[in-house]
Amino acid sequence: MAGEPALRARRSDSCILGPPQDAQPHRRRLLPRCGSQPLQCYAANSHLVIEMKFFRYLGSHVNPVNIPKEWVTIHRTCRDSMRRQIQMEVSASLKYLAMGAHFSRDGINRPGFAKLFFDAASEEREHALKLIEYLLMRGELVTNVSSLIQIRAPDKKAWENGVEALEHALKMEHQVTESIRQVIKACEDDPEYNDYHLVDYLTGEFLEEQYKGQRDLAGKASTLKKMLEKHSALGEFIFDKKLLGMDV
Amino acid sequence: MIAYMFAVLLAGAGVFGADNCYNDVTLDCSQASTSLILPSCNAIFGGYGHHGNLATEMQAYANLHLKKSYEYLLSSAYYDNYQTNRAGFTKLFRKLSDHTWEKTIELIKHINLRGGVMDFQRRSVLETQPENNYTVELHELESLAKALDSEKELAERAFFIHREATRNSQHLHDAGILCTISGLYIAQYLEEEFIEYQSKNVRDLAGYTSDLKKFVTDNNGQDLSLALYIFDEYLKKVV
Repeated sequence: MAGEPALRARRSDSCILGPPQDAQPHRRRLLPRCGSQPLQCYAANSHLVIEMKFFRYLGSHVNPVNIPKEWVTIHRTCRDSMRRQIQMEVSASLKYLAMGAHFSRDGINRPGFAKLFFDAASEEREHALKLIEYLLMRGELVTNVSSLIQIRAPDKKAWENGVEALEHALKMEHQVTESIRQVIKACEDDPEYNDYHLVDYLTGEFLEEQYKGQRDLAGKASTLKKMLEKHSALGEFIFDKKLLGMDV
Repeated sequence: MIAYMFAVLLAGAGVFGADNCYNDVTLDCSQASTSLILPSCNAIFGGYGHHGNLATEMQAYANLHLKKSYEYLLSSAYYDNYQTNRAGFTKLFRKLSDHTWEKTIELIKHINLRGGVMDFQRRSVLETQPENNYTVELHELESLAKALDSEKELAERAFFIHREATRNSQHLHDAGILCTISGLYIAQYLEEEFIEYQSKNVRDLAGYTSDLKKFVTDNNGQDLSLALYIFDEYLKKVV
């Protein structure tokens, strides 16, 4: 993944990471390595000289490894769409957290819905993890890991009732499914490299789970809507306890 | 001790508790209207939400856990790539991430338990600086140092909220009593669910950092590459 921009550490950090673009080659040779990682440390500011003393201990005893890279075969458009998908799963996990929080409020009091959505939040996090693990298996995420995930507060904070929340969740899942289809497209249609295995993984595992999840939510929304037709307060109350696995 | 004080104060709180929810119900039911608002029928007691920054600090604490959880997740991913290839470090960061994620959900539930509302935008009064971007591409010792800092931040924040919560304990016999009950309840919750675990975590991470430091400095750093391998194997077993 040569050519990717060097990652810059915070000002307070003792070294700047990645190949420094502005450092002279002869200067770089003189500088010590950080641990066993192929990272380069150099004094960006004079006040860091004290910290450099520490790095002197490291010397050049740990050589960065150079492993052949031919086996790292995911192409750029495919990789980028996978990275976007990871962010999307994380954002979905945060939206579900907000839904769980809403339904646990004292004035809302729907512990069954709250459990459903808190569990869904953890599930979305697991999806992000699985995609990350897949990229790692294929030799990715050696650089640009920090920028993979951004945490932003979810916009929507309140839902009218259980049906609205279930329908919102269903819509969200549909968006995630469509997005996975876009990743599949990007990884399959690359003119130089059809990434069969990644496409198979996403189709077999992720799409399967998405379609099952969507069917489950759609079924729940339908049942609840029917129950609400004539007995809205009681209907939602009973449905909520059913979600908790309770017989009422 | 705090649990005892809490029990005593809770028993005493009945004296102060007015029948607000009951009054709401009787007032609203006597009127010819189909709507019931009942503003006092909520889970708020002991002055939660009126006790300094306590309610907002709890929200901010949940948000801090959420942020750390995904930061740890990225560190865990970074140490699992084929070049770093440190399964022990991966496991360590994954455990930290899983734990902070679970605590995020627990904190949100606790806020709701107390009749509060979770606000994902909320930041602590201690967070005056704009947020720095997190960097995971660090070598082993640096990443441990960062994890130690993170765990300390979580622990110190718990102490800060604890201090805020118990600030009014000198006013046990005046009107501050309700605030104190609320505060003690939160203080006890933080002690049991956060501070003990965090203290152990901080200690473990400080120990790891100390071990790694020795490998770096000892024998002129000659042992470092093998030491890091063995230390990683060790982490795989103990985490």
